[in-house]
Amino acid sequence: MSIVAPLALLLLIPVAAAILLFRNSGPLGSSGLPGDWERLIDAPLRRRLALGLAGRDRTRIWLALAAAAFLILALARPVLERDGAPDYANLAGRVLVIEMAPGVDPAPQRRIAERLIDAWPDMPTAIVAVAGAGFDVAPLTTDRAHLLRYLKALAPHLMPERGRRPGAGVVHAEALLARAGVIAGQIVLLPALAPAGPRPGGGGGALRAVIVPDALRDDWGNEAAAWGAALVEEGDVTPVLTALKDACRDARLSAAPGSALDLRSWLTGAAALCWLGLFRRRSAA
Amino acid sequence: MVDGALGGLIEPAIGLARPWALLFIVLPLAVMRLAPPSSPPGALSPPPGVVGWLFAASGRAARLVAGAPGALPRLLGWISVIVALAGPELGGAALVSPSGRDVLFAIDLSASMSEQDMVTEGQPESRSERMAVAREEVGRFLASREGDRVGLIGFATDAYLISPLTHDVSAAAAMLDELTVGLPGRRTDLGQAIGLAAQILRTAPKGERMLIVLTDGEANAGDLGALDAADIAAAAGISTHLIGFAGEVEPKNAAFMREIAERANGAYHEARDPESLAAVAAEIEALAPLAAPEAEVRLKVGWSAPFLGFGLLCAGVFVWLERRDA
Repeated sequence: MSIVAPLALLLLIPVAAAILLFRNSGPLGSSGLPGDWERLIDAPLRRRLALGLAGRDRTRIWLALAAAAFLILALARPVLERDGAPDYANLAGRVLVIEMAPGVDPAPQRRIAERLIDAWPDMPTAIVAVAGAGFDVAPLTTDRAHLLRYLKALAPHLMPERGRRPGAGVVHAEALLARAGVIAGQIVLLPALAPAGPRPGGGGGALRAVIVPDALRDDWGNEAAAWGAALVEEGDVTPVLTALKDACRDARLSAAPGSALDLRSWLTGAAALCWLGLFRRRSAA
Repeated sequence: MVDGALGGLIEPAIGLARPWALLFIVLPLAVMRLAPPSSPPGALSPPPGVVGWLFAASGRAARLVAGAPGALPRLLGWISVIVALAGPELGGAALVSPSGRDVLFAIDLSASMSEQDMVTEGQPESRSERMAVAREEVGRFLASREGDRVGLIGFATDAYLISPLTHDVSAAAAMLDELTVGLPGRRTDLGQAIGLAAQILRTAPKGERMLIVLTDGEANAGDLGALDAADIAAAAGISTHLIGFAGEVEPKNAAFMREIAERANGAYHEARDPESLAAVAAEIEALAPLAAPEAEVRLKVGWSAPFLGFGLLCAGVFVWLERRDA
C-alpha cells in the first residue's frame, strides 16, 4: 500500500485533539439551560432536563469527527497497487538538461547523468544540451548505449550557440516533453556554474530538479526555488528518482484506475455514511 | 488542487467517475422522515409550558430547541462529500498505448540521393531532389506511427544510428532534417545498414520488429554482404522491407533488393516519384496497422480533493457550532 498525499494525514492531529477535548470535558447540557436553575435543580437532574429539552448529546459531534477523519484519510488517498497494470508509451519521461558552459569541463555533469540513467534504465530519458540556447541531443529513449555515447561526445565547443542560459535549456526540455505528450515528466538540470541568464517560466507541469555539487549549493539555493525546482546535492540523487516515481504512480492512477485499488472512494463513502447520521432528527420537546 | 503533478496536461473535459452517486444527495430527506428521532439516554422531557417559557427567556435556548446552528455547514458538507464520491474528473490528454512494434527506418545518404529526378504529378517541368522527397514522406510516415517505437538510421559508406528507438515519433521525424547527403560517405553499404538495424532490434524487447530501407542504388560497398545481413535480420525475427527509390531503378538492382527482402521476411517496393513513395508508405502502414482511433484512452485527473477539503471544513464548522451551543 502507498499513500499519495501523506502530508494530509497531519490533519488528523486536530481531529484527535478535538476527540480528547470532548471526551474529557464535562457532559453536554449541564450548564446549557438559561436562568438560575442551579439553585433549584440538582446538577444530575438539570443535565437530564437539558438533554430532554434540546435532544442533544455528543453523538452528532462524534459522527462529525468520524466523518472528518474519513475525509482526511480520503484526502491522503491510500492505494493498493496491483501487478500487471497497463502501460502507456507517453506515461512518463525525463529530460536531462546538461549545461555546456564555455571553457568548463562537463565531466561532473556527465557522471551525474550516467548515474541517473543507470539508476532507472527503463525510464525514457532525453538529453538536452544548453549553452546560449537549448538543443536536442537525444530523444526520449531507453537505449542506454545511445544515451551514453552522446553524453560522452558532448563538449562545450560543439554547441551551436555559445553563452550561459541554463533556463533556456529548461524551457527547451519543457517543450520536448509537451511535444511527446508525456504525462509525468521530469526535467533535471545539471548546471556547470552558478545561476545565470533569465529564469524559466513555470507552468509546464513537469517536475523540476537541479542537481549541483556542494560548491554550488549556496549559489543555487534560492534560485532553484525561484525556478520551482527541487535542489538536490550530487551525492544523493535519490530524491530526484523518488519524485519521478511518485509522479509515475499518480499518472498511472489517473491513466489506468484499474491499475490500483484506490481506497479514496471507499473512505469517502464511509465519511458520507457518518455524515448521513447528522441528519437524524432529535427528539426535541 | 489537482491530484498529482498533472496540472499541465488538463484539457477542459469534465466528467464523473460514478455519476450514480449523485442520487445519494436526497438521502438526508429519507433519514429525516423515516429514521426514528435520536433520544439521548436518560433525558427528561420537560412539560410544554416550561419549554415555552425557556423559549421566551433565552435566544440561546431557542437555538438549542430548534437545533438550527449547524444546518448550513451540514447541508453544504453533505453536498460536497457526495460530489467527491461521484468522482469529478478533468481530463483530455490522450494516452498512447504501445503497439509493441519497433520500426527502424534506414535512409540511404549516398551522393546519388541529391539527384533531382523526382517528378511531381502534374508538374513535369519541376523536378525535386530525391532526399527532399524522402525527407518529407519518411517524416510523414514516422510521425504517423504513434504507439510504435521508431528509430532512424542513415547510411552510405558507413551506417549510423541517427535516432534511437523512441515512442516520441515527432522527435524521430524531426531528426530527418539533420540528415545530410554524403555525410556518411559517397557509396552504399546496404549490408552494414541492415546489420546495424539487426544489432539494435535484436536487443529490443520481444515484439514485432520491422526494418524499412529506402535506397536509390545498388549495394556497392562494405564487407558484410547485404544478403548475409538479410539472413541475420531474418534470424532475429525482423521483417525487412526495401524501397527502391529513384526516377529509374535499374532492373538488376531491383532484383537484388527483391531477393534481400524475400530472404528477410519482407517485400520489395518501388517508388519513382513522390506519389508512388506515399503509396508505398501506405502499403507498409497497412502491413503494420495502428490501433483504431476509438481505442484511444484519455487521461482522467481526479478533482475530488477540493470537495473533500470543503467537506472537511464544513465538518469543522459543524463541530464548532455544536460545541458552542452545547
